[in-house]
Amino acid sequence: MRSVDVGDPPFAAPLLGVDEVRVARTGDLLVVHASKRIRAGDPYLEGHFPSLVIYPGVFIVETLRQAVALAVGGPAEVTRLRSVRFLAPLFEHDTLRLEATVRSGPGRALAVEARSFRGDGREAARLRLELERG
Amino acid sequence: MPTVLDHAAIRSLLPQGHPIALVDRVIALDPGVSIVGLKAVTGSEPCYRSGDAGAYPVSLMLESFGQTAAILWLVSLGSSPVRDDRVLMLTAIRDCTIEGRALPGDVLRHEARLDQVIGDNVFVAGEILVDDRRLATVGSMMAVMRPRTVFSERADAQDTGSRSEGETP
Repeated sequence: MRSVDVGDPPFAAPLLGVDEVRVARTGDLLVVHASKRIRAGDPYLEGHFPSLVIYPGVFIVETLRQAVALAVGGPAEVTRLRSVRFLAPLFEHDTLRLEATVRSGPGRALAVEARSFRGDGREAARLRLELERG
Repeated sequence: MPTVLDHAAIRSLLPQGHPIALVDRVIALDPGVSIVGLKAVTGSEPCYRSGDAGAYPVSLMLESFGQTAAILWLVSLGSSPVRDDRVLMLTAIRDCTIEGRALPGDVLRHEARLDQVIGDNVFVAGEILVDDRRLATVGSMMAVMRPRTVFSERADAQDTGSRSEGETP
């Protein structure tokens, strides 16, 4: 897999959702692995919740979106959430790991399936989304 | 439109705190049935700190919708406004389509309805609009309410930097 330089999110983003991302291509599928450490000082997290940091489920979607955008090398926005299940919470100091596959088409559509994990190996979320390239 | 719940009342109900308390006003509320909540999109929100003034993130649109639905649920339960002892957690989203986006200056209008309550779990659905423009359709969103004490071991671990196994909801 090759690493992608993360930099700053190119469009309005609630927070930096990705620390590291690696990409590989197998056939017509893009395989994306990403990680994000949960930090209490990140934007929005001081309120979610006061005195107990839990990474918002919608931010797992955001992390996935940013990872895919970095992997395809340009903006990508969510157009459909087919099925997203949040299975276990992520707390401060934990590291979210994401393993996703991205299939292109038709047109600018990207079909994304992903599983995400906590540092203890427990599954944090399962996601099936569609994004659209910018 | 009349204000049914102002932002202060909303803050006393929801466990989310600033700057992720994403419902400004409730303008319609039928307990157990439906709710209409508003959230003004502003360029002074943290998501715009980098100077890019693009579309309001979908993740925050959905969080704002979810919180509006949570207000409906909490009011329907007759919950006392002791928000600090609870956490509300999103557990699932299904069949959600994003058709449009919001920009600073737009006011999101969340029209949510309660589909089902099973124990601590609630199923809601609805739409996100700006004026007469529909931005999103939420087929189903599920959330669960947990007392904060469920996470108390984890909360202590956060303070000390150690880890312990806590109950997973």
